[in-house]
This record gives sequence, C-alpha cells and structure tokens, in this order.
Amino acid sequence: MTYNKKGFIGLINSILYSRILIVDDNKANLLVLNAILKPKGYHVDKAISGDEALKLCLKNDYDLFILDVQMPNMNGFELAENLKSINRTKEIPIIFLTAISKNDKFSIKGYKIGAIDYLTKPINDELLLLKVDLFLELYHQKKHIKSLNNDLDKKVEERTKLLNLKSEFLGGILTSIKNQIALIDDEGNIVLTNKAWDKFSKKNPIDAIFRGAIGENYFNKIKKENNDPIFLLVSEAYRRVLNGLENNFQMEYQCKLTTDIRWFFIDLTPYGDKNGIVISIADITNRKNIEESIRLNESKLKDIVNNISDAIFSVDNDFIITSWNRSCENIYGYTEKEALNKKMDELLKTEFIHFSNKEITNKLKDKKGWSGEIIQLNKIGKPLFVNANYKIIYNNKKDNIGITILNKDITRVRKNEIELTNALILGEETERKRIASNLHDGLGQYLSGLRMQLQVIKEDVEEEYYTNLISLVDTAIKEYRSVSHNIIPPNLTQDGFVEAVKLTCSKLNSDTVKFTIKSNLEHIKITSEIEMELYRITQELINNALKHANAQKIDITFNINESKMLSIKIIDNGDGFDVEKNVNNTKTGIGLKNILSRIHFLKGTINITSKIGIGSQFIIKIKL
Amino acid sequence: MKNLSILITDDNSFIREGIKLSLKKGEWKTSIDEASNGLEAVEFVKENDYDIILMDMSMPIMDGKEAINKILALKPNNKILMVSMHSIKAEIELLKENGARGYLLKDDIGKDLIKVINRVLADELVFDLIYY
Repeated sequence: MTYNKKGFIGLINSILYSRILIVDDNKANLLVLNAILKPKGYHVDKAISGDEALKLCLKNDYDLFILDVQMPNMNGFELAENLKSINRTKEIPIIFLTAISKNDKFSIKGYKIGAIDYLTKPINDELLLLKVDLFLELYHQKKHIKSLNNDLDKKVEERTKLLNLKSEFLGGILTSIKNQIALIDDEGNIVLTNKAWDKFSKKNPIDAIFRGAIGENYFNKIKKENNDPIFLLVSEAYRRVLNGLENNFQMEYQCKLTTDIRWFFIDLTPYGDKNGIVISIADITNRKNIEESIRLNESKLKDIVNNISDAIFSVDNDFIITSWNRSCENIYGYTEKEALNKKMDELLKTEFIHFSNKEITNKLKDKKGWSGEIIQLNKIGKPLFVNANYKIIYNNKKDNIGITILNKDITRVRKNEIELTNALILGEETERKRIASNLHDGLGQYLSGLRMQLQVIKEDVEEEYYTNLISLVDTAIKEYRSVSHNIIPPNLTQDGFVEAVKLTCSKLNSDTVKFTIKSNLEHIKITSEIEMELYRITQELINNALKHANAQKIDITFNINESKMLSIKIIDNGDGFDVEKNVNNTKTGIGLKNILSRIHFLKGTINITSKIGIGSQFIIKIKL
Repeated sequence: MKNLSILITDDNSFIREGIKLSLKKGEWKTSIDEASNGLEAVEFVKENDYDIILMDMSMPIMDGKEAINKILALKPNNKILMVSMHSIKAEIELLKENGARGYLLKDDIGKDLIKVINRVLADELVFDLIYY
C-alpha cells in the first residue's frame, strides 16, 4: 500500500494514538488479545462486562471496540446497541468476537447493529492485527475527513456571515439612497429593489421607470398615449441594453407634470453577462435649477457688459483675445467673430505713449494691474486716444489666468483739448496782431512825432538839454521797437520766417549770447499762417534757451529735403533739463506745452534730447 | 521867398503837425494841404498841383504803396516823398521802381526834412538816408 501524506499521518495516528477497548467476560481471552495488540503499540483497555465497558467509555475516548458477543447480563449486541446510542461512541468501529459459528442470520444482526466485522474464535493473530490496522486507519481517515469538513463548514459559515454583512450594508445603502434602484433579470423580472423604488409598482419594469420617476398620475396619463417619445425611447433603450447592444444608457428627462417642473436622470446599466439591468433614477431638479440660475446670471452679466459704453474685453496670458463686448465692436470696428482668438497687439496696433509693452508686462507681474494712456488704431486705421485699464484675473488657486481690459475712448476729449489749444493760440495771435497794430498806430507814431519835433527845436535849446531829451526819446523808440518786434517781427510777412528769425537774433546778439543761423530754404513757398507758426515755434525755443537754460551759444539750422520735409534744429549750450518731467508740465515755466501744441497743429514731430549741464537739442520735422 | 505847395498825407494828426512845424525851418512860403489817407490824397491831387507830396506808408482805406501808384497814374510828374517808421528793403526797392523820389524815416524828419525836400525839388532821388 502506498499512502499519501494524509493517509500516512492517519497511519501514524492509528499507531501512536489509537486506543482500543476489548470487552470479554473471559479474562483469559482479554489477556490473549492484549498480548497480541499491545506489542504493536496500541493502547488497550479491558472490560469484563458491558457495564464496565460503558463506564470506561465515560472516561476515555476509544478508536475501536472489540466485543465478545456472548456475555452474561449485557451481551455484545446489546452493548453495541448501547454504544451506538451514545454520541461519544456511536461512530467508533466495532469488531465482534464470537465462538459460535457465523451463520448469516447472526451476521446480519451484527451488521445491522453497526458492526464492521466479525472475528471467530480461536482468533488468528495475523488476521486480527490486519483487521485492527485497517479499521483503525479507516476510522482515523473518517475522523480526519470529518474534521476537514468541520473546518470547511466553519469557513463557509464565516463567509456566509461576511456576505450577509456586505449584503446588509449594501442593502442599507440602497435603502437610504434617494435614487430609485432596481435590478432586473434577463427575463424582465425585478429581482432586487431599494426602498425608494418600492414606493412604486413592481410590475412592468419600464412602467416602473416612469412610475418611479414621475409619479402615478403622469403614468396613467401617458400609458394611454403609448407613443410618448420619451416612453418609447426608454423602452427601446431598455431593450438594447438588455441585449448587449448598448453598454449603458443615460438620459435627462424633464417632467412637466404639475406646475412644479422636475428633472430626472435615468441610468440603465447591464448587470453581469446578459443577466439583467440595473435601473437607477435620480431626481436632479435642484442641480438643474442651479444650472439655470447660473446661466441666467451669466446672461445678465453679459448684457451689462455689453451695454457699457467702454470697451471691455479679456485676454489670456499671451494677450490672445478671449472675450469682446459690444462697445469693443463700436469703438474698434471688429466684430466678436473677427476679434476672438487674435493677438491683441496685432489686431489693435497699440502704441504706448510713456511705456513700452515690456515695461507694462513687468508692471502687471508685480501688481494687480496697470492703467495709462495709449494710442490704438481701429479697423480702418484711424488712431484713437485710449485710457486703458488692465486688471489681472486670478483663479481659485491664485494663479493668474489672464487680464481684463477696460478701455475708454478719449479721442474726442483729446481732440477737444487740441482744438482748444489751437483756438487759444489763434486767439493769442489775433490779440498780438491787434496790439502790434495799436502800438504802431499809436505809441509808435507819437514817439516818432516827438523825436521829429525835438529836432525842430534843436537850435532853440541848450545842447546838453537837447542831447538828454533826444537820447531819452531814442531809448523810448528803441524799447517800443523791441516790444513791437517781439509781438510781430516787421519783416515776417515780407521776407518769411527765416529772415524774421535772423532779424530777431541780430537784435539779441550781444557779448553774452551768440547766434548762428543756417538755412537752405530760399526758394520754397509757405503760406503766411504757417510762416507765423514756424516763426513762433523758433521764437519760443530761442526764448527758452535764453531765459530758462541761460544759453550762451545757440545754433539754428533750417533745412528742407527733396520730399518737402522741413526740419528746424536748435542746439543750445545751456543748463539742460529733465525731458520726461517737463514735457507735460506747464507749471515749471518751460513752455514746452505751447510749442508742442503748435507742432501738433502743423502735424509735425519733435525730438528733444537734453543733458543736464551740457545743453539741449530740439529737432522739429514738418511735412510741407 | 519861394512858394511851396505841399500835400501832407498821414493818418496821424500829431505827425502832420510835427511835419508842418519842421517845414517852418525852410525858407518857403508854404501852402499846405493835409490828407489823412491815400484816397483823400488822390482826391486832392485830382484838384490841385503840388510841388511835393509827403506820403505816409501805413494808412487806413488806402495806404502809401497804393496811393503812389494812383497818383502817378493821374499826374506822373508828381514828386512823392515816402515817409515811414520802418525801413524794409524790399518795400523800398519797390517804391523806387514805382516812381517814388525819396524815402525818409519819421524819426529824422525834424533833422532832415528841409534838406531832403530841396534835393527832391532839384530832381534828386533820396534813398540814402535810410538805415535798418
């Protein structure tokens, strides 16, 4: 015989731990059996009667009974019956020993009682041992299997408990969930539902969908009209999912049952491999209401933004346009379609007056935004003066995700400013002309007349007296001439502004200041208005150089090139000044604003450079 | 004493008075007409003959430049002496071309008037007393 491991262990068990109980009223027989069995290593107990045997059984566990049949009081059969009726001993194998010949009837009885085998006296040792071995082994194996079974049973019990717990837990979830959930098998029977579902009918699963979702009344209503599109749609979906044609079906459905409109979400998911469908229905009215409310707010906001007269648009971090309001279209000329996703600088061709694009990006990085004046071109190329406001947008994580830009079109304001300045300048000129005229007709004449008359009476007065008077009158005339010249140079109209400048400078030439004038303007024709403006510009710059810069050397160059670009260059060696500070500041006394207005009036440009302590250079360019 | 008929054209009466005063120095028996603008001067010339006409440059209605042309067109023999507060070269050249006999600055009338009148009467052109 070959044993597998378990069998081997069983064998070991048989040998090492087996306990045998021999029962025979004949002591001699007991000794004989003992003598046979003990050497083999079995533990042997002896009893001479059934009673004793039973007593021993109360104390010990046996693995095999060997019972003599013929015994007084309780015979072997009776003992066996008793043993079989006791739990502790009923499984233990019994071998009967008998001296009487084994006829069938006798054997049958024994077997019926539960014996495993018979042995006839006289006992054959070898046979006895073999049978004892065998039956013990069988018994131990049986016990072993039983214990394995018990283990298995225990495991199964545990598993079942766990599964039950899980099932209870899931059941609990399903119960508490507001969604109506049902599991439907492949034959359309509802096998599992949760509490929410149970509120409604469990008959036809498709009916139940709607019943569950929208209530009895609607169901009753639409059942009559079975061609309700939603009803058909879901029915069809149900069929398809069940047949594996769809993995999943989902739908949002609005139920206008009562005045209270409700939204439902229906989900059909297959279960297992064509085993059925899990239906889940959720009431999503709240979410839908919130979504709608958000949408309305967004729409209102968009309306507000669109109705503002300022251009409001937004760009991402690369200055690509991401939104565009109606005023943007009005101001810039581009529609939303034309503007979205374009780069802002390419579309609007922005010129920053006092800052560069790079400087602005840096400013934006540090602070929350930037504002300032810029010039932009609209769609048809018209320049616009714009007051720009950039504000950085942040997301929840405080990353900057773009910039909102609000631009005010101040072109009209600027234009008005320019027109006003021009009007002022014009007014000034008119006034000056008037004063010059008055001076000429009045004071000038009288002074000349006075001198004239003095000369007449020359002989009639003392020489010293006459000299004093004449020099007094001459001084008066000289000052009058200077004032008059300052107002309007006498040779301006006749000889042009270059000659007028030359005349002015010749009167100003002195020991402390020297002028040099160069010009190639001899043969050009300029209107008298422009001559006047050009003279004034030059005059004011000269005044500046003298009064504010304390210049001692002033070089003036007038030049015109082939393309009729007139340039006036004035270089002085005065104190110099801070160009940026003084360009817009009229309070410092450097009247650059007036000069700039005149230059702007002539549609010219000016380039100013100045170094403190060294001097200044003004280059004006005007296209004639 | 020689006779001298003279037409003084100036819009400023003070100046005219000054000129008349200056004339006293000369040894003439003067017969003086006064016009306050070029147009008046032309009217006077139509009616009368003068030995010399003194003409201011800037006057209302008709200034000296226009008047000289009108007068010489009427009576080309007239001797017209321009009188002004300024001296502008181009202007003076033009007047010379148009037939003026001389140019005098008002400042120096008191000093030079008699001399200049005599020179002009002697058919001289007097354009050398101008300074700029």
